[in-house]
Amino acid sequence: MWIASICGGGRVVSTPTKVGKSSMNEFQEWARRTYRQSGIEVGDDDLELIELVYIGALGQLDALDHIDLEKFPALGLDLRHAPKTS
Amino acid sequence: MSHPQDWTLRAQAEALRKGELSAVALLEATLERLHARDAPLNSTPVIFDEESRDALAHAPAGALHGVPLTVKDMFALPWRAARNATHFDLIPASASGPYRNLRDAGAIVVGVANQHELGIGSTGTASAYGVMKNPWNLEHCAGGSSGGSAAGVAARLVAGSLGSDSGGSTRIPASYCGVVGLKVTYGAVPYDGYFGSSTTFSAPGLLARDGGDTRVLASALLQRPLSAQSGSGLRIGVVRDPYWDDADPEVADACERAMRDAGWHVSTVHLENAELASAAYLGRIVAEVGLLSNDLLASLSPASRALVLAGMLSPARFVPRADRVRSAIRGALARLLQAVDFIALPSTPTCAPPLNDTWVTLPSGRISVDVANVRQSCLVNLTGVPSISVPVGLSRSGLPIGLQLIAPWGNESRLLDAAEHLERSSDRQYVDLVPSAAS
Repeated sequence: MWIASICGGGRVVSTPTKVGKSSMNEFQEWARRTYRQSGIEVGDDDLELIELVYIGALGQLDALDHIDLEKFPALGLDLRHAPKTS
Repeated sequence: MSHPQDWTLRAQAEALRKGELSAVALLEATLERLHARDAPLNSTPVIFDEESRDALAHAPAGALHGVPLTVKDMFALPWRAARNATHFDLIPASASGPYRNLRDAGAIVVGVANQHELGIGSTGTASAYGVMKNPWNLEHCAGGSSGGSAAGVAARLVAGSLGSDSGGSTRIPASYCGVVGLKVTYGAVPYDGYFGSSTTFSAPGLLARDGGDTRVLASALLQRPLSAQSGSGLRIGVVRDPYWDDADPEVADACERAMRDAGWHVSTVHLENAELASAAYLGRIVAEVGLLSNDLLASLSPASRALVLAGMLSPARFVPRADRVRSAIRGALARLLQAVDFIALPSTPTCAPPLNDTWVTLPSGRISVDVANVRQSCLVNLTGVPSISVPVGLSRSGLPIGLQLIAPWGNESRLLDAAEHLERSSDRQYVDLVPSAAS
């Protein structure tokens, strides 16, 4: 269970205000074009849901755009071993 | 004599070892119970009558000799591809690494445990096999993604199940169904033939009725002895915000009471950058989404399809930033776990929601249960450490409550010590409770 966290904008208070009709159409056109380039066909209903999820995800990911890169240096990740404590 | 699936896994194994129960009798009784009782739950949609009989005929001696288990649809078996709760064979039939370890200990796989499709939901409401239901209340979610594993164990259909955990998928259904769920350390077992090998967050998980049964299973899965020690006097750290402060007060109260009754030393601690854990998890996981065919995409539920497709659009700039935060949090958690034995938090911020309304109300407001559950779980997957969910209460509406403990890297054994101590502290009242669907 992992990608379900992508619908991070799922709080009722946050999503409807961010989804305007004109931006939805613009997003949908871009998304459909992008998927076509990958050989993926999507329906209109899919695109509406995808936009809700996408906006929710960006809402969560926004925090990563604001981290201080000096405070978070690129240390490398050795995921198969315990992290160092010093 | 009572039905052997009403016994613990330990009791089954001991009776087999002593010759008080034959492995054939145990297998046939288990198959009969699965066929007779699973329909309302849909926990085990594929039952291996012939394959399990054949496996028993060739089962090696071992700690699990003749013990029937179910296996989540993420693991390939020699006679069946892993389908990940879709209609498609996603990993060809083979002896997956985690399966091999259990098989080599003598375990017998009797069926495929249902799960949320592709492992991408915490409710169990979407699956090619149909919705799985909670044995405590059939109108409520069994959880996900390893919902069939948890429901089948809780309902006394089998005493143990192999699940997996990429974002809480073992701990969440364990909490919802009132069983123990152990997520092992990342990379601790071979990942071949296991769908979780496609992400850096996944690890196999085990679901069983209590800590003792989980210890037997975990020793086999990890292929090392996990000897029991005292679980008393432990130092427990709690990170209040958001894990406790934004949980249903009834759930948080039950978890706090359990730790108090255990006599543990509980202190509030600060985990540096914990508030960035969900974003770091999300930023990386969407980059690890596999490429799915149009046919497979078309077969998914609308919500799952949207999740997968939206993930494909996520800007790549988030990936290196997520990795930097991940690295920092891994170090911070490891340092914190030098000062305390475990971090504790409610396994899920609420009890299992109804199948027809998977939004939950937290102190901070109404929220998708998937978002709430992943926030509570993903720290463990982000850092790779082991974690366990132990039943510690029942809500006023009669649904289980789970306490989650997070241990240092490789410390599964201490988690099991703690689980067994919690069970003793409550006179086993929560692990021995039997849900209505099991009677």
